[in-house]
Amino acid sequence: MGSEKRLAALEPLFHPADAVINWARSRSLWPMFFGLSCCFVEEATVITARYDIARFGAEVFRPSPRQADLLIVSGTVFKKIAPVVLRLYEQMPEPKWVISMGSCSNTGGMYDVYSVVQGVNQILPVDVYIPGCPPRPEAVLQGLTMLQKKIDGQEAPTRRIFHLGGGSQGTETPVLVDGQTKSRDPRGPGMAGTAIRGTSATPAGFPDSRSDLMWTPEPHRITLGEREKSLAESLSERFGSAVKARPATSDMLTLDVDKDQVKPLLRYLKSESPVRFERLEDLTVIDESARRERPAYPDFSLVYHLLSFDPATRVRLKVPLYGDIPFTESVTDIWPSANWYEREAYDMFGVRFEGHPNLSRILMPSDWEGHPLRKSHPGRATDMAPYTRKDAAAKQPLDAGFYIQHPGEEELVLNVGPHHVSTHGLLRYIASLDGEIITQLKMEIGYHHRGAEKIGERQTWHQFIPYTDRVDYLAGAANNLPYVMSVEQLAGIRVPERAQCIRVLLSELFRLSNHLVFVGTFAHDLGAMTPTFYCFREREMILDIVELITGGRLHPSWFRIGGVAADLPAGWKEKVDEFVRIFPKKIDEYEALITKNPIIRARAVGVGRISLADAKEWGVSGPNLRACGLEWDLRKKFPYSGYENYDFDIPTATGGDCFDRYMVRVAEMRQSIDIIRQATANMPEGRCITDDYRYVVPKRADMLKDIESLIHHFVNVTRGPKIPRGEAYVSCEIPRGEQGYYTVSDGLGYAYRMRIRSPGFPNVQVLPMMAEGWSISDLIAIIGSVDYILPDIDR
Amino acid sequence: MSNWIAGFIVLMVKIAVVLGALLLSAAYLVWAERKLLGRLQVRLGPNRAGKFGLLQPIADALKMLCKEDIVPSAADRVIFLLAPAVVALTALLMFAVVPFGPPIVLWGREVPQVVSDINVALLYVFALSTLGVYGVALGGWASNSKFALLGGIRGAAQMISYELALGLSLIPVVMMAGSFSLVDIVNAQAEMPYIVFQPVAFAIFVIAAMAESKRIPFDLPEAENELGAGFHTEYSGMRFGLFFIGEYVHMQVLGALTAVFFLGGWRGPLLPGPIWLFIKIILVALIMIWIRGTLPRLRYDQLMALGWKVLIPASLVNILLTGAFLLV
Repeated sequence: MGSEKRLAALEPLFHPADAVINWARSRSLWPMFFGLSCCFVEEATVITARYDIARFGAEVFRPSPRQADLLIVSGTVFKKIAPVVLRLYEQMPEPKWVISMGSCSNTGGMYDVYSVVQGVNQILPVDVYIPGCPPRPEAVLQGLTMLQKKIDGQEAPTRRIFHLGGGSQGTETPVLVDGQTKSRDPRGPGMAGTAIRGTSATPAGFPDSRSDLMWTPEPHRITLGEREKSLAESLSERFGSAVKARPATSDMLTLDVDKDQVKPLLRYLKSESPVRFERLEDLTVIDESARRERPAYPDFSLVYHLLSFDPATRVRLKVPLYGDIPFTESVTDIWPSANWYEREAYDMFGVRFEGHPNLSRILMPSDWEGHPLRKSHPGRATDMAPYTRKDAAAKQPLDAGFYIQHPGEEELVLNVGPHHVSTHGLLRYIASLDGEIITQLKMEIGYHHRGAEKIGERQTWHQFIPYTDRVDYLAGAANNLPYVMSVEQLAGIRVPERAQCIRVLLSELFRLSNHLVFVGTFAHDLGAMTPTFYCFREREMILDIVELITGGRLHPSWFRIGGVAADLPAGWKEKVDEFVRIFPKKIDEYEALITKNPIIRARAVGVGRISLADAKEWGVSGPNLRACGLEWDLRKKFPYSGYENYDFDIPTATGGDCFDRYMVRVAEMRQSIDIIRQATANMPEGRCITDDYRYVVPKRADMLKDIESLIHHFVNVTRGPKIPRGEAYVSCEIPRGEQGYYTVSDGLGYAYRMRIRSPGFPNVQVLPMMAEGWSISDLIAIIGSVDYILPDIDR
Repeated sequence: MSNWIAGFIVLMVKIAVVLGALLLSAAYLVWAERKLLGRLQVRLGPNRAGKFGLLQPIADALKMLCKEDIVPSAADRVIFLLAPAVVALTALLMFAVVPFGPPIVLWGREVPQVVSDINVALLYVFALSTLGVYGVALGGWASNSKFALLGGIRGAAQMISYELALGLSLIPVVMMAGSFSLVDIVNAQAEMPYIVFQPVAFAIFVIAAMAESKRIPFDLPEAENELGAGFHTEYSGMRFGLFFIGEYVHMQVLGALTAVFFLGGWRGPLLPGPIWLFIKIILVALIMIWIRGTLPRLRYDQLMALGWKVLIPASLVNILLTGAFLLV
């Protein structure tokens, strides 16, 4: 009893003690170096010059959860990563706080899709929610100060610290249960009783689709060149009726191939035909089971896109497959890069590839049921069972022994990721180490699978544009381009010159902004902390221009089918001119810090080399391919959006090592500046969106004047335009490489199949070839130099 | 007897003053680093906790003291708990032999301005600095985490190899001063600091000292980008804080040793000895911070190559040259 009495005497001291401890804690909130997706870019921006979170004593981002006080869940919480998030949270010492940053983490946001947890509050308690997609850096600062106020004002930690019972500290909000303590309605609260229209199996159609009542012209058709025609003829001579060229196509030579002839044909096209198709550009499947003219289609179509470097041309092969578990032969012995593509097709569609060395799931967790891109699989997370904390605790990632079954003697198997400071996102490397030398390297992707392709099948043609921004979240508007161009190609929509020029301007600005992040993080990966800050300083200038023009920062969603969303605002030219004037000097500054630094050279020259032959074989694209010595840039080889009118070079290097990959990007920045200079100087006058109002929201003035525009306005704003039945593949040179959209329309208001060919997928598949034999430090340098981004790999 | 008691009291007071000053300046060295790095990176650094963020170290320390202290269940508990103390303790003990001024006379007694003037002080410094490796290596090993283990191994290998260069670079200094005592070495520089005679040894010493303190470009044991937090990955709360303190005390000790061996120790015009020593320590520490803000990190094998193939041969040659010069 005595001790309690003495305690009671101490009671008056608790209140001031609380105040002091709370003061210390709130001013020393060390966040964990933790990010899931786009939001983390803005979170990282908060550390840099303009925002400077250090002012609040919170710049000490700890790579280890043991030393962190604050978990800022920035980005999309995927079902595959949620167990990891929970484990990291549990590894943090008490007291700990959680800020949920961005719509995805708050509620699932725009990703109500099978692979995403609808809010991190289903697995963790959350103190502060920061709204936005992504929230601006200022919002992060506000979130932090709100948390400081909460600590200062609401917590009484002294009793806890001395284990006296009572008191409060850290996050104490309850973990919510989807459907019980929080709404399952993806539209938020207040919609009770109003059913959501459409699921993936029953698209948002109407009893007799009103899209059918809208007349649209036939799909755009191209006439094939002589070369393609003669190729088609020689193929039908050689393979007989097994290979048939389609008479009409919207984009490239398209061949229907029988299943048993596809392998000989691919082998022939790769190494014997007059035009050598050296790259397997893409391999994917279409589930044809929901076609409206069902008898005209097989059960599944297997689609190969091939690319020839010289002459620059593409070809498409379509192989019909039948049955519930369709199967075909693997082509991994022709193109090693087919390995991941075939695994993806297996994972997403359940297509079996005979002779594949390791046919297992690649994007979805190993215990997933069903194949998500089949039309019978639910598309929305809210159509599936709720994801609970119990799930997160139970479904831990597979053990490393699953990936490396036979490490060498006395070797250490090390997991790098799925969450690690330098994996540049959620990607898991499993390395077998002899000392520090990597003898085997395996990878596990899919931690950032946002189901973008499935979403493409349910959002209207316009609604899908914001999702394309988020496929490569550092490339912003440059991402919109291949998507809108594939739709324009299919429907034959003409884009006004001014719009094309604006598209080029923004694409190049985003190329600069992306490469700036690359330069900064590459230096950071090698241990230099300061260049990142300089790069982000200039990146802010670019984002200011982007904001002036589009109103957004990371995700402007600015391009529209047929043009861009609005004309350039007053004052844009001065801003861009000022930037163009300043920026080249800044590049010199980075080069002085990085390029000329002997330690950087020692760390990067000759490290992670890949030969040109391998790079072609594995489908590597973008600056990584150019660093191997091939002058290959889609802006020159398949000019689009008016790039043929600009005077610029394609920088290349010869070594194919980390340093060359860095140098190529630095040289590209100088070229981009040139392109921007030309674009601003020669900006044409005129409309910034097509006047083919069938496909675009008409200008307001026109809408008010004539009935025709008014009708189109109504239709395009409510249910969206209809795109004629057909398919088109368009690929663009986005900052990281060649990003292609393969758009398949069934003549409705949304796509039938939306395939995204990303540069990251093949670029990363080749990574073990670069890294094996090098040390763990070199692995980090190689990861930095390859410059991938996770949503682009996993989509 | 009373003599002994007085001596004991004086010693205790000296220890208290030195410890207090060291820990306080370690805390404010962290503050200075965060501010200076901020300026190097075109930003402000901490400025919310107190004026100019001056209370920031206090907030950090208080927070860490009140934090849960996690010992992973698979860790070797005793060694895990002991390791951070080893790092902090050895760093603090090293300062015992650093003279911070000429002897002063208090109440008729001559009081040397050094905690302990032992005649093998230099060996004592090296012995402690070698012991400090155990904190890093054992901390990494006892955590039972692979990243921590890699960090610990790196730390051990790196510090052993740089210890050699560090020691060899000082032999010319000892040859010139003719003593292992730091007090004598400082006194030998009464006319001219040794940096003038021994620029090569100075350069080797500073490089090796930076490697000893595990800072960029030699921060391989904790290489954030590669190993997460390296050897202290599993440490939380104040135990992690001890590693932190150890690092910053170590920086000061190395600054003090640089001053003692090459910059004339506490000697300088006008200002009193302790102030001069303090200025020199801070100067060395600031340069180390500046380097951290500028350079990237070496790779493990490059670090070893620099130590074994460049620094050690260079210091051997330097010894020979010094010896020849002294003979002639």
